[in-house]
Amino acid sequence: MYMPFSWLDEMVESKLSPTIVAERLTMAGLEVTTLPQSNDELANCWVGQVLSVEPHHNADRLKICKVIVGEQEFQVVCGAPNVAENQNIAFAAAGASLVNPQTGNKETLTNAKIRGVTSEGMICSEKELGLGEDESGILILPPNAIHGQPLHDLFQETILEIEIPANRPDGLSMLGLAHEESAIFNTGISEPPLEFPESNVPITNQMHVEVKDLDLCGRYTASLVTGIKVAPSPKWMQDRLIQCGMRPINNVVDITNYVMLESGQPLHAFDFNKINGSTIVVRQATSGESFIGLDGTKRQLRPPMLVISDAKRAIGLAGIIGGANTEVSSATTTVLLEAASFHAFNTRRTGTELRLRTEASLRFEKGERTSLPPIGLRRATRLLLELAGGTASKGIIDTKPTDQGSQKVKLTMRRLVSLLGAKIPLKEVRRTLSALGFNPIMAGNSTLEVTVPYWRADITIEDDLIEEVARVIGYDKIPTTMLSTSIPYRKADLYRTTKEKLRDTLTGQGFQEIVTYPLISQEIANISSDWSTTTSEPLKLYNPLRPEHKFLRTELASSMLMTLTSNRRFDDGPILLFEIGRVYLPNPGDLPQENELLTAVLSGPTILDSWLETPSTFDFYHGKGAVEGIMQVFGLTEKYARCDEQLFHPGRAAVITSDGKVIGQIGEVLPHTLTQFNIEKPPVTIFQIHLNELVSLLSSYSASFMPPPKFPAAERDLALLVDSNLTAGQILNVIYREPLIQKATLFDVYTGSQVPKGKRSLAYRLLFQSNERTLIAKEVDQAISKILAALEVELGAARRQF
Amino acid sequence: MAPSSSHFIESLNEIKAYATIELGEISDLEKLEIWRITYLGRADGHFTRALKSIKSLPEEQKRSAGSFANEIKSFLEAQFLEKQQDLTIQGLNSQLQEEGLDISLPGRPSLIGRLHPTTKILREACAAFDSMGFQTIEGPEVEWELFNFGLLNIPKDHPARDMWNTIWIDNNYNSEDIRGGMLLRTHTSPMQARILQNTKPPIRVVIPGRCYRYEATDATHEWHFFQLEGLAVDEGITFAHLKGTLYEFARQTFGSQRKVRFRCDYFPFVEPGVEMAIDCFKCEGRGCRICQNTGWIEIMGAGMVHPKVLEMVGYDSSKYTGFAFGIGVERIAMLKFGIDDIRYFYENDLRFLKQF
Repeated sequence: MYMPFSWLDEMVESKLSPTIVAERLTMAGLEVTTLPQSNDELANCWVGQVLSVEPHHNADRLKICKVIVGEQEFQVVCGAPNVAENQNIAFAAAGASLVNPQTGNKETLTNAKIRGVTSEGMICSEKELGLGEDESGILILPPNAIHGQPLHDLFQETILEIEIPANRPDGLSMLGLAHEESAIFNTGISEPPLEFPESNVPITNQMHVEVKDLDLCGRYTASLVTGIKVAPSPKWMQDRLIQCGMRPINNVVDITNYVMLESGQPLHAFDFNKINGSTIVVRQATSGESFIGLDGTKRQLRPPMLVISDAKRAIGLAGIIGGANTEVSSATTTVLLEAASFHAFNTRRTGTELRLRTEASLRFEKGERTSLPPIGLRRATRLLLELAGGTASKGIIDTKPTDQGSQKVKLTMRRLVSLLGAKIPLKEVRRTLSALGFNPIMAGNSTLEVTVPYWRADITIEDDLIEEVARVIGYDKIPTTMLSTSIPYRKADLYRTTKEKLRDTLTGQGFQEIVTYPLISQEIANISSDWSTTTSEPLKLYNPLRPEHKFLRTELASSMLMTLTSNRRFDDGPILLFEIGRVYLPNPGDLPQENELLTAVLSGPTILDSWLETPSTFDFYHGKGAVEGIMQVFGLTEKYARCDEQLFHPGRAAVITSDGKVIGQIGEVLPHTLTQFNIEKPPVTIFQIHLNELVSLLSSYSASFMPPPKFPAAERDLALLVDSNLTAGQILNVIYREPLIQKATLFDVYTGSQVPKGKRSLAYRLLFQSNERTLIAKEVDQAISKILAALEVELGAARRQF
Repeated sequence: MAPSSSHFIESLNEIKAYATIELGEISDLEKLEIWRITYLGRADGHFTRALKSIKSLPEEQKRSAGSFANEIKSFLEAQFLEKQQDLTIQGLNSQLQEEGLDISLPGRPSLIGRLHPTTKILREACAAFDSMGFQTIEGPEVEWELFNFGLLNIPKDHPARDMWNTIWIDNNYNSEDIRGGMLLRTHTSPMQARILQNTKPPIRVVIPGRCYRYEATDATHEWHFFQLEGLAVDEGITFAHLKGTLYEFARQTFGSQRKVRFRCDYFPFVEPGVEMAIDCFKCEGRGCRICQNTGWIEIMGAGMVHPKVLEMVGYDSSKYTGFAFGIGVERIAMLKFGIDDIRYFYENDLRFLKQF
């Protein structure tokens, strides 16, 4: 909402500076988003129009423009990217005082030669004029500005841009803003006059109004003025409409818009002679009824859209736009003015369906009081008589409002104190409410019965009134205290602490955390449908913002791979990434199941060029090492089994289990999949851990103390020759059956010329230890023999002699 | 010529003089050893040889010549030890010197992982509220319209719905279901109703999480972003408590030198409604591009929980009051780290992420 400050000043006797008014309005809830600028220094600046733009023969970025300013033409060299023919621009002639954007200082403009071409002035940016901060290009003036006009005229009005909250239709009117200002600064207000002379002919003799749907049209008022003369409206009115961002049309239409801006009541003017049967019927549209609005667009309507119709056809879409068939033209002599209350939600729904939002519908949508229409109607009728001549019929049409009229709300001081935590004297409460236009009457010792003014549709409950008092007094006047109520019991949250510990562990292992969008494209959904453990289709969006965000992901690996791809464009080094994110598993008839996963990726050389070390490549075992590290951090023992997840290389993937539960997967990504993601260099290893499973294991786990061993350990090396298809895990299982084994570490794996084909050699360092005594050599030898025997019998392994 | 004491003394003094001069020129332990053998060697050193001539001295001179000889010997031995120590230290020092490394060469690389800036801010913020008794809880991102709007006092067709442009799940727009359609939550506020339904006062919770809006993206707007929701409900909670809690959060987050401003704003699920801003640290409140010339930067919306919100989930609004707030997490990160474009956050460019 644009507010010309002089308009506000006309109604409020405060005479305060725009800056102060802007600040207090903002604090009270009507946020002024652009601050007033001073503009006393626009001497020698004019509105100009660009006639032509030619390239500068001596400089690529410069253009030579012909600018017309009134009678005179100027040649200007301009470097702005946005200069174009027919634009209205701000032209500064020699002698103008302009801001140098480089230094921020004011400098006086002189004519100059720029790369051999004379420039007789300058086309200015907002910044150069001192009107704002924009220096990206020149300031483009509205098309209705007239070249030759002093720039000062255009900017002499201080215009505040105000953001009006959705519950404050009154903020969309000068009168509403005036009430606000007068309440804040405690000054008087002068409301515009509403009376007008009437003829002897009663309006009810001349026309008939019938409202068929009283729910959707709470009140309908109308006046009739004959013998008017349609002409342009006076300049002061045109100026204000332009300043508020509206286009002047003719005196009749301009008055309806002016009064809407002034009072907040949307109005419409019909050419009465085009109305069939001198009849207005407010009814729901019939299914498929077509209607051509003032914008020339034909639309198909359906119930419960509300229309204004005459005896034959729709002549207006209620609260949104008038009909082309009854438009006021230069030939119009009799005008029917309409001011009504239309149902907020229905107006909104109609507008949304037809994709049509107007200044009128914007106001109806926010829900205006039914007391407002006659006020707007009388004001507009008075202005019409003043500015377009003619005679008003006697009286107005007014269907009785369906609601109770003025709303009353009780306010107790007890509630006010207990909600705000501040003791505001009753006297001040009453004064503040009165200043806002409320009528507070004492109803008991500390209770007020408050009548709500007609322009405040948003006040319905006691707490609304408390906000009114608080915001006008100022939130800064309310004390600032710490919570003194009892502190709720906070139970330890294993899930959260586990999640955060995972983050710390992974970053400690060198993984960078990423956060990716959980939405994926059709293409990714197709690729990943082979991977995920669930078989159902991912959830699809009704209105995706872009095609790459059409589905809710059911896996995290694709997000990981896409992030890897995008970073590989400029990074050849080691890339370790992880994300703790959600997958969304559809759950027919209910919200999807949102499970959290830790997913990590390892790719590239293990180190970036170092003079000390030769890099290897991140592979499956780096990933596995990371997983083992994580498990150790949480004190869990895990097992690995072959995994048939389609994402992974079939021979290089494992399911991770602990205590019989699947807690995750790890594997090198299938080379074919890497190609699909445009990743050139295998291997890429991914592992993922399901948070729910991890946490459920942890909930039954607690570290238990074991004293450090008291007796020395005996160490032996054992090299085995085994079939290549035998896994290290199978061997380890057998070794660990020996009770004296404290630890078995695999330190060498060998295949090659020294061992027969189809075999490999595995070498273990075995640590024997007892809690009861120092082991003697014989015991250890016996234990090794037992282990060997078991390995031979069960797995066909043989001791390898060096 | 008969041997005399004076001749003997003279020859010893001569040895001393030569030995001292030579010692002064010695710079390594090997030469020092040769020097020792030359002068002090038991078998054939100059000194030993000189001593031998004592025998031929008259008896009465032997004693004084002997004591003089001992004096000279002790002197030379002391000189030797001192020199030996000096040279040993010198040797050690020069060895250390030779072993010196080019400390400007880079070390063995170790990989560094960092947290995402959003995680960092969320951790700090949750910790700040934790210190004030707020428990951290999370909630679903795919929500029912009822929780995202209805139970927050934003009925269908209410103009306030314009404040939250919504991404809907397919086949869920304009749903007839009593819970409305399924959507991607537009804010973390739906958890207010869920928590009120599942918990008994006193309630103090913060809810971090992702939110989604059907909105064009620019330097300050993302369609996908994180919020930190807060809710405190109990008997006796006031607007003053809201101010105190949020002031403390701002102070812990931005330091005590920042000014905090509370102004009126509108959200359908609170009454009175609040917008909290801090003074712009770029221009110290004088007005600049970052704060759009206002001197203030908005960091959250807040307010006292609307009585209708409490009543819709079965609370007696005359008994219980509370406050709620919603913090834009990226906004806080942008202010703290000086990030000028929100689009960096979820592009996951490592050149961005490695800065935090």
